[in-house]
Amino acid sequence: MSKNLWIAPAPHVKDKASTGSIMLCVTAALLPTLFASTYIFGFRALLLTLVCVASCVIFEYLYRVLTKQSNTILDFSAVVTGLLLAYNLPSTFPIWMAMIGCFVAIVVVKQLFGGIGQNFANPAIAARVVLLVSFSKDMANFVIPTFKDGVITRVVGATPLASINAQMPTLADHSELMFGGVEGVPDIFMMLFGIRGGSLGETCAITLLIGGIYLICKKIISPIIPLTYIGTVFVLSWLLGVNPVQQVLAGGLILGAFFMATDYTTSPVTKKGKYIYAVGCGLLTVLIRLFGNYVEGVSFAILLMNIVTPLIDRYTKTRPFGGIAK
Amino acid sequence: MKLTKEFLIPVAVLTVICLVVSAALAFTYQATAPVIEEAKNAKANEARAVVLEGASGFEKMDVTMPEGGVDCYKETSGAGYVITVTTNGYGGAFNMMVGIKADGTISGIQMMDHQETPGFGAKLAEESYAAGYRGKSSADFSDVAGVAGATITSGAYKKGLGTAFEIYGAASGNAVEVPASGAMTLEDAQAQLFPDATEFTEFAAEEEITGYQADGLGYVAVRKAVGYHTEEPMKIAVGLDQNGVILGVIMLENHETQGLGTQVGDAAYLDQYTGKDSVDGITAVAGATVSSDGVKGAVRRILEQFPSFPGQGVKLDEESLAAILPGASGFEEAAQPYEGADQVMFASVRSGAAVSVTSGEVQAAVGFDQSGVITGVTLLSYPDAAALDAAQEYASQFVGQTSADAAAASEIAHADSIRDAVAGAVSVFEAAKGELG
Amino acid sequence: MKQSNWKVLLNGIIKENPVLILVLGTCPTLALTSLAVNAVGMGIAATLVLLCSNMAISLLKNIIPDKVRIPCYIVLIAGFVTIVGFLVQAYAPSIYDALGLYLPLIVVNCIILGRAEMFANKNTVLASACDAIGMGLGFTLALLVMGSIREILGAGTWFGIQIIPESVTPMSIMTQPPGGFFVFGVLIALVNFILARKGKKRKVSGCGGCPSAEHCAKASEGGC
Repeated sequence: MSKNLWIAPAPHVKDKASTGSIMLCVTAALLPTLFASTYIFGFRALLLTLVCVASCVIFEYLYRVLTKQSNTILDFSAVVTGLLLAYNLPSTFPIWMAMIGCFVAIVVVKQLFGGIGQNFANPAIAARVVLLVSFSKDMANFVIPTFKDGVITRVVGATPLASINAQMPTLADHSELMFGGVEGVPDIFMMLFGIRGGSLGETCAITLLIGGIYLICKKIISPIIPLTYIGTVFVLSWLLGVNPVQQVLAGGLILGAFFMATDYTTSPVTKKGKYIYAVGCGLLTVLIRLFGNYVEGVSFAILLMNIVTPLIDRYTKTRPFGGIAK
Repeated sequence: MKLTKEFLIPVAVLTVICLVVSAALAFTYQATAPVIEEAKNAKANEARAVVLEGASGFEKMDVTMPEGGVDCYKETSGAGYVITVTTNGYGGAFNMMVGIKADGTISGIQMMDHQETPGFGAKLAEESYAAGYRGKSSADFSDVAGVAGATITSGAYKKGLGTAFEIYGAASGNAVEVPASGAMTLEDAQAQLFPDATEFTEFAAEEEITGYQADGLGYVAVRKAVGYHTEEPMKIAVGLDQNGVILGVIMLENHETQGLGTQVGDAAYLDQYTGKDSVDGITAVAGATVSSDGVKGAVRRILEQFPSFPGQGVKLDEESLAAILPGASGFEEAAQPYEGADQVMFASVRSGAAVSVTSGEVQAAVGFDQSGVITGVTLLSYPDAAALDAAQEYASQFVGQTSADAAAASEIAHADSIRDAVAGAVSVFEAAKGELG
Repeated sequence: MKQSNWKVLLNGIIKENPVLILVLGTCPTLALTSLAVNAVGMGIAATLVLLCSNMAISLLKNIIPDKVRIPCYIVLIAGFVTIVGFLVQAYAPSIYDALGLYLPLIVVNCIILGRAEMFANKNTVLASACDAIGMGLGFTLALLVMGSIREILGAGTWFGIQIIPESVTPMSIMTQPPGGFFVFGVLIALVNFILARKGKKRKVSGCGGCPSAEHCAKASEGGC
């Protein structure tokens, strides 16, 4: 009898996944983009990324030690934050400023609010916005790579989004933006492979998509947010008269949609909530890009929707099984 | 009794306090108002004296103020004027006091009541920045650089100076020079690029380019350049020699932001293009990226279209000449260019002419004898090397004809272009045969 | 429990600093600390007003009936603010320009009405004066610290003097509202940390834990 009855404490069903293993998968998904950006933007991109990752890990370790809390660096979330923050910076960004960004991301946005799972916004996005407001000139110092005969040459200049933005007179006159060539925006193939101006991790659409699809296949992120986000931007841009393919490939949309908007803590839990969140992100991105003073709308859109997420969660709460109907 | 205590006393106390406070206020106001007024005036006069050297006294002038003008004071000993203008900066409107000497040059500038960002827009209020404008007249103050990172404030500053000069002009009666925006007329530009050319023949090219052949020495290509102010694009003239090397870029029309985008019309920027045959390595003007990109893009498009300019393409050589005008020799280039033809050559003793014409992607050389009968057609440039033989065979059907009208239908690609090229050559011959004598 | 007047003064500077402990007057604190010189100007103007109003209200505390006490206080405070405004405009016009709208807004600065309610209408003129000086100094000091931090980090200067070399880009977010809130939060956290270290346990809730309990009228009634 006793052989057939085995009493043990919960949990009785365990999965292999842990925070650490999930974060390692995300890191792996982000690595192809690191190779691409090193090739496109040069050694400095690699250096900047390594510094960001190291700073994030060190800051997290020091904070936990100084506040006498458990050491969390082994959950690799600091590594992911470091990678994502670096990917949001131009390759010419000064190192010391990047370290300030890491401090803001890890200590202010994440640890001060209670550590992983308690942050009010995606740390990388919030830090990017702080850096954008604090060091606007250095954050806009983009390098434009061009590919000719197998060699990449880099010049300082305006990114595709900036060029599109500058050449938008009134909303009525966009036919050239839709179908014609826009000065400063390379063709679709260059955009897909990342040979365009922008921050070091946002340009190579192919590697980002590979990473994103990998994460979806591994069921680490749900496809709802990235697909709905990108889809909303595509449709809205089309309706408003700008080339939707360019809008999707330019700026940090793919990076943001797959890797930053999908942060577990700061995006809604339910499916319905995810749809609302993603549509909100897309709407804000397009509005800021086309009508706002800022060239790139992704960071502010995701940040704003992060802050609204608790509200979305509240209104899309599902009734618990067996609970009283409202 | 209770009524008194509950209502009358509180009301009475409050009323008395209000009266006492009001009296105190009135008293203080009376006492300080003249001081305040005087301080304001002294401050204003002091600011004016700082701005206009050697000033002794000021009197207000009654001039109709344009938009943005606040007041105008004339210095009593004739040293000049001090004009206050208001302009819209980044943090709101601010006032500028501009001292303009009797000779029309700037003596000093003070930025007042501003709410610009410290470290950026506020930098323009510093003495070190204003000093850069000393001695500038209305024609050249826009050349002074703005402050990096403070585009809006710099633009507002310059705009304020412009308004000040306008008022100065009205107050003093002196003529105010309009700043040269580096703009030039087309004729002057052509003359500057090709001083030895006497005639410029116009031709049309793709990509909204209007071209002028400069007497066989080269070309002047005119195109619009869309910069920052997209409703008013710039217009540039690019001089090219026969090999596609840029002789110079000249700004014909520039409506960019004064002092910023207008710098792309200056020699400092445009000289970069001279001697180049591509736009690689051109550095943009700091703070005027979009204007610079606009000019660069226009030049690039012109260079891309250069091979299709008349006179370009493959040159007639001995081999091709022998193929179309067998037996002729002693070829000379025509004395003048002919519209529609890349090259026209006459055989010795005017026994025949060779005309090369580009149509689409095909360049054909057609030989004519004195009476206009086609003696030979050879394809100098044909996009599909594999089908060249078939195309050549098609082209030879025109031998013995005097026009391209009887062209047979054909399935080979670019048959139309070949036929058009031959037809073009025929019409050029019509125009050129006068030279055959 | 009456404290000596000297202690009353010191109280306002540290133990009951109006900005960092009582969290009063946060509007001018956040708005005027982007430059240190503006911060000091506001602090001094507010101190003057606080001094006059505290003394006046203390003088009149037995005359003003309870029913109309708030309107009376406001009239008095507004009067003093206007008078101070005239004086500043006449004799220190540059500070007047710098303070701008925030000078008349001192009328609704919580510190002034708060101290009138909490202290001046229950204590002697001299004690009220000391309290005003203490609170005013505390306010000015807190503003000075915040203003200095924000100006040095956000613009690289202190009172207009270049501190950080020009080649180093300052963190301009510090001179803008988000930076202001952040520095404010950090300062309050720091002060709490220091006080906690000194053993001042604020774990008691209600009137026992409130630092102003000694002066509060409501304490005898059992709480807010």
